[in-house]
Amino acid sequence: MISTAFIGSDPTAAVELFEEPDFYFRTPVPDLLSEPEIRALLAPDAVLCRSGGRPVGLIWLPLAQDHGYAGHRVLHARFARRVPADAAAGTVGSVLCTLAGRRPVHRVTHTVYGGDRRGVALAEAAGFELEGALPVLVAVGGAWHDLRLYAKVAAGA
Amino acid sequence: MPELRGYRTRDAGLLATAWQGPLLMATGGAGPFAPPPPEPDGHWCRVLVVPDAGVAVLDRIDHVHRTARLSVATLDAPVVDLLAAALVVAGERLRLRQVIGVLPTGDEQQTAAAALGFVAEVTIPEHVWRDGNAVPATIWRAGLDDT
Amino acid sequence: MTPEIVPCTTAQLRRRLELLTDHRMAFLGRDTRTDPVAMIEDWFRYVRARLFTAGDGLFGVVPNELNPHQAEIDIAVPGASAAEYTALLGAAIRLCRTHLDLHSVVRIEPNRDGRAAHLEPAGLRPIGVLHGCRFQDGDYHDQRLWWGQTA
Repeated sequence: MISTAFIGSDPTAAVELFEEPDFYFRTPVPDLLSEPEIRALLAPDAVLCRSGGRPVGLIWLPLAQDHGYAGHRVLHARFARRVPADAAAGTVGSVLCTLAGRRPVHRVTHTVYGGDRRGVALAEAAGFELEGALPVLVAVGGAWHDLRLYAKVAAGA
Repeated sequence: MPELRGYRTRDAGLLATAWQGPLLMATGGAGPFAPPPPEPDGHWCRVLVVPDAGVAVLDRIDHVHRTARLSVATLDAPVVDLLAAALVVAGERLRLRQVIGVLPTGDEQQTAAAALGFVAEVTIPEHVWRDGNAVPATIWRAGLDDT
Repeated sequence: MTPEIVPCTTAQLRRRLELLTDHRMAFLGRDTRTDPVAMIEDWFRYVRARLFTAGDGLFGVVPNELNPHQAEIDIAVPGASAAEYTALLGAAIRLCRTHLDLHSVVRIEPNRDGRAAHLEPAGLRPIGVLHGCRFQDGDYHDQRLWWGQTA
């Protein structure tokens, strides 16, 4: 059972998540970041997911900045290795539903590094569709990967 | 190979006691009057740590020229192992093309540096203050990616 | 008349960086053609550079963390003649001795340009290169180094 809560003003509990070298939450090099860099990635309205009291994942859904539509969001989501994809996807879906209940949400975009199998599994399990890929864009884990662009559009949008 | 991870505030003690200045390889701890430790700023400087063992600092990072200065310091752990791990991070994770590092000329660590692929490039007179004198130091370079 | 090497104000620094950009002159490790001014200023803060006006250009001093009596220097004076460079660099190196207690200086070539010709007349000697450490004009180039004593 995964519980969710806003990070708020103290993101300390979330820092340990970045020790996994593939905890790609807004960074391709999570385990190389210093603590101040990690804290800079964690907005107060990001959601910390816990299981058994331990942090297991992060979800953040800011507005898409580049075009200013009120109903467009960007999904940043990552879970620890021990969390199965369907549990992670279920949590993402639950948070999205909560958001949609409070704000209009027409479209959510999500990017995944091409070689990131867990990220691809999460995106697909959460119902995101692959819209395209930018080739050879990101250096992750010792190789170049494309950047996969996923999106989910609200029904009727 | 030791696993390096990003700096945490709880590593401040290790950084302060191990750091002997921007030297390619340093071991044994800083002692009194040590130079101030580097500050990871997420741009020019990245501090990596093996807890309770040592630190690897990549600073003057430039992603256009794909170069950085590398300095590794341990308390009593083998510094050459940490240096090898840092080279992997610099090349494979940060995609740098080369790293440079400074050793006093004739330093006993230079054989180990050469064994890891470092090549002596330039000797700068009076570059390091040691035992009351300004002594020459050599800049060593390790190529990580020829593209 | 002895040229003046005086500390640079923020406004002077920005104007002179713009002038260096117009003349395609890199300075103290930064490429003015591609690095935004804010980034260059941040770099100067990070390396604790002391910046001075030198004619219409800049003279910079970056302390060597391993020896407080040595520093990295650079000078960039758009449009200066060889004689002007010799005079300005000579005055700057004397300032390093008289006011900063520096015994020697190192110059690391930021980008390859004609300034190299003015260094030896000012007392700096070439000491080697860092191979392939600088990306310029579409390829990696060797970076030359010079060294000299301040007295």
